[in-house]
Amino acid sequence: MTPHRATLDLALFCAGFLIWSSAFLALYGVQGLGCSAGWADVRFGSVTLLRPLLIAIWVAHLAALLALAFWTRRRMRDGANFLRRAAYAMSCVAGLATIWTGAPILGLTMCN
Amino acid sequence: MLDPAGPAAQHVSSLWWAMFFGAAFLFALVMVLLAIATRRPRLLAAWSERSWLVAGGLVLPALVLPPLTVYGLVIGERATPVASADVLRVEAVGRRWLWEFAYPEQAPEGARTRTVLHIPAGRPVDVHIRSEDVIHSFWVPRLAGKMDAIPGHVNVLRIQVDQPGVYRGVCAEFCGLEHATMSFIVRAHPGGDYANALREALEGTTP
Repeated sequence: MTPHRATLDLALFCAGFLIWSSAFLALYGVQGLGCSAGWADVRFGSVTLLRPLLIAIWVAHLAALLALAFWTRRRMRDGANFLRRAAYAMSCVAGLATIWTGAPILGLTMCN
Repeated sequence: MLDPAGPAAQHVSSLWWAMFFGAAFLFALVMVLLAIATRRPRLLAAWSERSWLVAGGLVLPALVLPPLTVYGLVIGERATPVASADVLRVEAVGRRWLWEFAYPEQAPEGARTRTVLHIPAGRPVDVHIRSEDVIHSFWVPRLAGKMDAIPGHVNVLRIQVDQPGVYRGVCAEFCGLEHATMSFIVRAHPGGDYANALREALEGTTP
């Protein structure tokens, strides 16, 4: 393994939970901001502005994690070593964690 | 907290008991395993280390934590005030070191009761909670969970009392030297008597 590739593998190993933390921060921040700014009261028919916005942020992060999982899996198949296997496992776990921590935006009350 | 007097506190109490018995069961399980490990280690050797790690570190938390999270979310959602015609609105204002209560739907602007919140029994009440100085927290253990009183922000907590009576409340967020004395009571009146009782309590307080 060249030093350059090892650095990339290490970056991919960290990437999953960096994306998870980005999703968490963005959902947390936009939810508070949206409630404060009254976005939950802006209605388009039966839906409000805030919930689709949060769902879009969530889905974008899930898509990034899915792409990361495919990428790390391909690298693992090209030549498996501990770091590559761990990077693939971490991206899968980060995906599950993002689904779990973000899922409440689908149903819970936004603001009160 | 263990003697709930309203629906919100009832949910909190059932969650507490579920967690108590769950924790007691798991503690007993761990103690039994520990006893076996010291006295009859061969009984446990049938399982590999990896199996123990997966069972205790992944399977067990996966069985325990997600249901607790979902249950907690459901309880939180039930305690969330949703619009309803029957709801009474009162205001709780925390400041160092006492609580004042206003009744915008029943009393003129500025009429407040100090350290006693008057509400009708059997009817949902939305308490709009705010602070005039530092962060306080409004907590009546027998009625509902805690809700922070934050300067510049209004939090809403829905409470409901099943029976008339007196229920003690405290400030549940350390707010300075006299924090421990910053208590109050919630006086729940029979529905028909509420208007009169509130009028009597407010007499002389209107500026």
